[in-house]
Amino acid sequence: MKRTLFALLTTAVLAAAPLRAGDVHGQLTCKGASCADAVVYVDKIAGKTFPAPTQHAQVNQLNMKFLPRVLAVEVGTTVDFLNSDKVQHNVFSPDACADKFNLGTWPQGQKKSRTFTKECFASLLCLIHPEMEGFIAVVPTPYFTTVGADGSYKISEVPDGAYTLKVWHPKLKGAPQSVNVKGSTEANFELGH
Amino acid sequence: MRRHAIHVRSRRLPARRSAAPWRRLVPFAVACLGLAGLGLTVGISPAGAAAPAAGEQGTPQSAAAAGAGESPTAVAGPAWRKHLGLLYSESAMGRVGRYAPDESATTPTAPPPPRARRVDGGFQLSGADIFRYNCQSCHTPGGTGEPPEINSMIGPVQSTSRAMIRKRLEARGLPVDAAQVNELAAQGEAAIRDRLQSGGQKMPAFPHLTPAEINALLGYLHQLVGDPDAPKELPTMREPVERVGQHIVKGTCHICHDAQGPDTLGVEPLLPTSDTPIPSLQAISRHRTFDDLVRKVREGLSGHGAETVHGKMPLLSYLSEDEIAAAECFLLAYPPRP
Repeated sequence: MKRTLFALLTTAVLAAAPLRAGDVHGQLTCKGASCADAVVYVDKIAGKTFPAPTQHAQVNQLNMKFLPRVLAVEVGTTVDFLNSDKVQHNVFSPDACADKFNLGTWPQGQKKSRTFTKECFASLLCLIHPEMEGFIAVVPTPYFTTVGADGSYKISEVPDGAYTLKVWHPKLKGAPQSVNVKGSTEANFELGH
Repeated sequence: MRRHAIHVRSRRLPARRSAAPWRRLVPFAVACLGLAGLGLTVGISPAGAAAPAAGEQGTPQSAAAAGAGESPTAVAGPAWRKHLGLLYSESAMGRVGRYAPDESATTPTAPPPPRARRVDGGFQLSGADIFRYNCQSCHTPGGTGEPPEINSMIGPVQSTSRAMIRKRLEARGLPVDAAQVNELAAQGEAAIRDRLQSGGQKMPAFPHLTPAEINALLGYLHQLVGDPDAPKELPTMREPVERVGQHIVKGTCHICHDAQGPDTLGVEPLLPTSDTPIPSLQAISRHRTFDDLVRKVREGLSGHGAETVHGKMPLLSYLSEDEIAAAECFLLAYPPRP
């Protein structure tokens, strides 16, 4: 009886425990542009799907800039575009993967939202202010991060396993890498034209 | 210096010289009343009289003129800056367009547009003149405004240009889709038309502009921002004197001057403050002689015995005597309302 109870408890504890997760971290070396706009992410995982995030992400239009300049989100995320400037703003993208969306024009304090339903790396532009430029990286897994100005990055809570790690940058290119995550795992990238 | 006489007059009148001493003493009402019987389009009513009803002003000449489709209406209410609750010192509105000429007002591909010229029964003018009367005093001759208070017009106007949107996308190496470019340009133009019709956070609406005038204005604005598809030559149209006067009064003067107020020009101190009263349009039309008005508007001199006083008035030297006369005649034909 005691043995059976112990076995049941052990099974229950194991079932409730999360998969062991570590992190992927590393350093980018960029030639020809700053690494700051890069996004590192885990590519699609065969047989694995993820629910669409319920929390909205936000791009602020402030002082005639998109903030953040590069926003990385998971597929299915709804992004709120907030106008914090006194002038009217618009957001549109000429990229097909973003369905060439155009959200119209709206004044200070208001926002417009769009849900990004497929993997995409798209430019964000304001029709009224040609100097404004931003980017959105819509990636297939919840395991992603934007890269720091010093080129370092860290993706936390990545379950142990074998993945393809990719890097995206508005101007530079870098080769994907196969990584076998086991605890804290390092992967470095070199980016160039 | 010879100053051409009151230009809102029949060509049958001999030119008068500014040196004529009596001119300094002539209230503008008298001068404009003298025009009423000379076949001009201005329907003059004595200063202070009720504004004529819409439709009473039309003459065969004005009816034939482009832009004459809608009768002017009297300027009414407090100055726009007062409407916004802004002191003179708190706002540049109405006084940033005073620097003229401004080379930034034109692009290398577009020579300076010709100014409006007097023709029988009115003015022959273009979108550049519509801009000068309605936009320049806040947005500067180059359209750049005075940020952060007064926004630049450049970006919004560029957003109406298919060629400039296309060029911008190509410069970034982005895909260009003709349908999207058309949609964006149409959206940009609709936004400008809406802004003119409804106003903005600080910008007044311009309901006195007709569709033809807005089209002419947009044509000029395309030139101003260097749109490759802008018309090389601006079409001109003929407008009656009172319509031109309405542009200037509502598009420029009313930014700072109340329509009605104390029946006096007041005394302008050497060092005016934010509290120094600004005379109403009604008081100006009643008490300012034409000669003084022209000097005040174009040269900043305030009149008798005070030739160094500029006061708060910006120099609007980009307005001709003809145009100042048109503004004054409009005020007399359509007396300002509360």
